[in-house]
Amino acid sequence: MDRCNETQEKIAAGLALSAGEQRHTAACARCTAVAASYSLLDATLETVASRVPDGFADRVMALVAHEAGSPEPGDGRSERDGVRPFRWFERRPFQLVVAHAAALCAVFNVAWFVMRIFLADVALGGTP
Amino acid sequence: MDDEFLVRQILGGNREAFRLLVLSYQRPLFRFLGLLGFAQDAAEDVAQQTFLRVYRSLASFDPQQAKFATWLFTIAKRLAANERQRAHHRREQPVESLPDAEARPAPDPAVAAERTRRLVAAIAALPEALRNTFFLSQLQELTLDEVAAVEGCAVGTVKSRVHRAREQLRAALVEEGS
Repeated sequence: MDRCNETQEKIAAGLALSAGEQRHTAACARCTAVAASYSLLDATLETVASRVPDGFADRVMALVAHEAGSPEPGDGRSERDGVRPFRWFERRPFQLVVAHAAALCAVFNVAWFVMRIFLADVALGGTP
Repeated sequence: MDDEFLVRQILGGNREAFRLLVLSYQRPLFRFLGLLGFAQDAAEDVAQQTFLRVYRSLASFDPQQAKFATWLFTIAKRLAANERQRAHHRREQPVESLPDAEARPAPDPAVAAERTRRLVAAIAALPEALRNTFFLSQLQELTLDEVAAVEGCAVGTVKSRVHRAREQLRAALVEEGS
């Protein structure tokens, strides 16, 4: 019985059997049944695995080549941007210009608001 | 040619050396993703992302710390988990799809399809840690030590998970006959 347990443990773990264990498995109905069920499992697992689609390596290399203009291997850029083209509004100079324009606009609005209050006082005859 | 040599070649500017790495690892990577339950399209997407990430991060690969295969499958495992999460948020089912039956003809298509269906359902029912460890252990490219490195656990844990996963999957198939 111990021999059966040891052999079945090895079969279950997917480990290779020694010559003695193989002989035992062939002679023992219980161990043969266990071995057969695990063989069935291994064979069925093979059918579940995906196959490599045709031209997969070429597609990966095309994406890599697409990247070659900007990031070099290992420069640690973001994860997925190589899959799509680089967009003009993602360029740093453009973002800086927009940020400065927005800041300028905000300062102008505040100044204009203060100025309006000041001008209104003068128009009503008050002292500035 | 070993992987480290190819990595040095790529970092030295030989981009075509990367093709050799892709060709070496595309089959085990698709096998891993297929076993995890990814449908063909989703598997291709994750595999593509994995190789792109590998290409971009090659400079950070340290052969003293891990074998290239270990590093690659660590990335693949993380991206596969992200994809699963995204699919969950989209309430889609990229996993647990039946494989293309025509691609793998069986002696008795009806029996084989039913068997595969049972196995796919059993795979989906496995806890994630068990599933990842088991399928990484199925790859000839990784030893149990390397699977332990990818999973961040002890080798004993890997052995125990593999044993439990195999037993659960076998039981699901055996039920078929009873």
